[in-house]
Amino acid sequence: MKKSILEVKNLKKYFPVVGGVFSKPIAWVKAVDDISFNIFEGETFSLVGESGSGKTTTGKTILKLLEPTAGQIIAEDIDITNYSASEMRPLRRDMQIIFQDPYGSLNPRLPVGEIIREPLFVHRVGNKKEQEEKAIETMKVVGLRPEYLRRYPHEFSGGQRQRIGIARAIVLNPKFIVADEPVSALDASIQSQVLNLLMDLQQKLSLTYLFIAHNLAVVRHVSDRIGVMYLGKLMEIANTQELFNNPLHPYTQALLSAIPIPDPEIKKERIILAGDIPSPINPPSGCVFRTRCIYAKDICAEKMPQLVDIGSGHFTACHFVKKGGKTEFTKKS
Amino acid sequence: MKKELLLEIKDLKTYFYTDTGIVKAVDGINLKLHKSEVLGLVGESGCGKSVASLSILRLVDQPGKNAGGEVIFKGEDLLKKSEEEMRKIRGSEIAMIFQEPMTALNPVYTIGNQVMEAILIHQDVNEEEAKKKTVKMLELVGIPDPEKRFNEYPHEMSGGMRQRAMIAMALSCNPDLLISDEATTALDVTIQAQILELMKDLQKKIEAAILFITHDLALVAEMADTVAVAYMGKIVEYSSVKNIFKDPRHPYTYGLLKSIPSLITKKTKQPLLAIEGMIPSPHNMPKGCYFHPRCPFATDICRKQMPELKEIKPGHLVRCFNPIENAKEVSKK
Ligand SMILES: Nc1ncnc2c1ncn2[C@@H]1O[C@H](COP(=O)(O)OP(=O)(O)OP(=O)(O)O)[C@@H](O)[C@H]1O
Ligand SMILES: Nc1ncnc2c1ncn2[C@@H]1O[C@H](COP(=O)(O)OP(=O)(O)OP(=O)(O)O)[C@@H](O)[C@H]1O
Ligand code: SF4
Ligand code: SF4
Ligand SMILES: [Mg+2]
Ligand SMILES: [Mg+2]
Repeated sequence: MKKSILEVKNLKKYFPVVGGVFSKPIAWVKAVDDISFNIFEGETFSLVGESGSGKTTTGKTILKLLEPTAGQIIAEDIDITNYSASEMRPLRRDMQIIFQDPYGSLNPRLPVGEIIREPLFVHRVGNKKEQEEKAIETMKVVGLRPEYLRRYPHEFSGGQRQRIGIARAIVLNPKFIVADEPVSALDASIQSQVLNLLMDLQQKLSLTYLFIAHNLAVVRHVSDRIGVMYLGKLMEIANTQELFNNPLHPYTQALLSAIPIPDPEIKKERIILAGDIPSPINPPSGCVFRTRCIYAKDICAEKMPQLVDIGSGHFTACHFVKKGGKTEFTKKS
Repeated sequence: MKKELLLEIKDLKTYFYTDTGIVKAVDGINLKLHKSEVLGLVGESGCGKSVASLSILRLVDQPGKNAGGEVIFKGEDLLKKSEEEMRKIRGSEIAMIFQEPMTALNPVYTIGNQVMEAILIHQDVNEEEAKKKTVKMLELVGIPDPEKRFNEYPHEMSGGMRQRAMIAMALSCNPDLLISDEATTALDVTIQAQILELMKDLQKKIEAAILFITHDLALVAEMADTVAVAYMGKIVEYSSVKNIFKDPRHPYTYGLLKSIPSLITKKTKQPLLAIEGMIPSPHNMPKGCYFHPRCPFATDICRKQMPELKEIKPGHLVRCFNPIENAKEVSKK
């Protein structure tokens, strides 16, 4: 049996929209709205979905960088949902995050060596000399020259800064890393360097990743399993091969068909979705995808489909996807 | 059948004279674009794509200056035209769409008024007709409820809708040349698919030529007839889209194609081919071929001399002393 390193049950994260004279919440942004999934030890589990679908909020909430609104987060059999910051501190060593923005996420006033050493200092691991040695060692692991120890973030390129962010995340030997769009800000030729590094570190350090990205080709390349999000909800979860070969949810199908392919001789059938993503403040009733779904029926507005296992770990949330993967779609008339 | 030449750029140079030195953003580029053809211009951040397109329209700001070359549009050199003449050409014969629609849209006027304004300036119609045409144009670019949307301000629209409005504005004067600079980069893939579909459709209808600028090779494969690959202000390869993808000859093009994971990559979770190192600083360019510090095929001559852009087979131009002979063979090594 594969061991769950993280279990998320019915997680919700709502942000208040304040207004009026009393600055009271007048509405809620349902950024993450009742999602459940597991992450197994040693795997790369990815969350994909369009901008605003709740990927980052999910990543931050499970690390308790944001307080969950409802639901449960279980990290290696410990329910951390209601842990305070001080209760979280010893666990933080094992759970780290790499941010999307290699420019904004590093302290510009600290030299690189200090940025990488800081987590060791915070967690009181070793004395100063040992911490510095570990920082240097980690720089080598991520492919940064140790001579650069005293340079400042602005003296590095985007790819190098992302390496600094990675070094900082792995310096405590964590078990689990949330990598939030770690290559989105990078150029193609640098992207592959960083992806290779992440895959290599996973092997060497037995890391488990929650990988967040909107580039589906990248996700396909690095993931073992994938969850597809739309408007704060999970539409489908399956292992990578299964998801790409046999997408069952209408949103996943449209999303995959929209990916451009770098081969002019392949012309693919596109499912062009009409319209825009609705606001998470006032999501559609029933199935949140129904306003853009080409198969939507009356029931889709009335009843919210549940995310169910339709066989061998392939989960979908659609009224017309049945057990065993049989679909009963008919186009809207 | 030989197609009619619409735009020919000859040895165009645009330099920025900064406090820290001269940045040769566009360093002698040559391009040809025929009537109703789509030319993809690809390259990484900073290679000069945007500056090249702004140079065509003579919109480069201080400290940037033209440093030579010709931009022959319909047989006449745009660089020799008066500012008055250029103003007439911009937005009528040549239109441009950008990554960020807010740079082209005026926040204080409604979408309808802005499109109508463009029509009034460039077409010989009265206000009533212009209004009708505007509504039709908004409908054509897939803006739902165009009569109502006419009165909306840019900030009231989503990113995808704003992009459509900008396209409507650009196309409402039936340009012969449309320059699209990363027009879909900021959009989600399903919205990107909508916009690309729209561009292809309209391109066929009004028979405009498109200079399609992007850093995404997959989009080039989708959209372009011919492709120019840029590296540090120079074109390093130019050919038909089929040729570029099937038979890339420049080591940089080859590296780019191999480094991006795509839906057709067979082996996932494997190291990707990475182009080593990073682009040089524009203030400290290497001698000889600009790509030599990163090139696995570099020989002595590459470190001393800049190769010419040479035709190595009909319609296929490469700037390299050691062009790749057989991409399939190389990839096995
Ligand atoms: N601190 C906040 N306060 C209010 N709303 C927020 C906050 N953070 C996120 N949101 C909203 O929650 C929703 C989900 O945002 P989130 O950043 O998780 O999306 P995402 O999937 O990571 O998108 P992207 O691909 O753009 O990074 C969005 O509608 C966003 O505007
Ligand atoms: N106003 C300016 N002053 C000085 N240098 C500039 C200026 N504008 C552009 N450059 C430089 O010119 C070069 C080319 O820039 P350009 O914006 O054309 O790149 P690009 O290929 O469009 O990149 P991206 O993909 O990031 O849009 C870069 O080195 C850039 O730093
Ligand atoms: S439940 Fe209905 S609206 Fe939702 S994806 Fe399935 S068919 Fe479409
Ligand atoms: S000229 Fe030399 S260094 Fe430049 S791309 Fe060709 S082989 Fe590489
Ligand atoms: Mg995010
Ligand atoms: Mg640009």
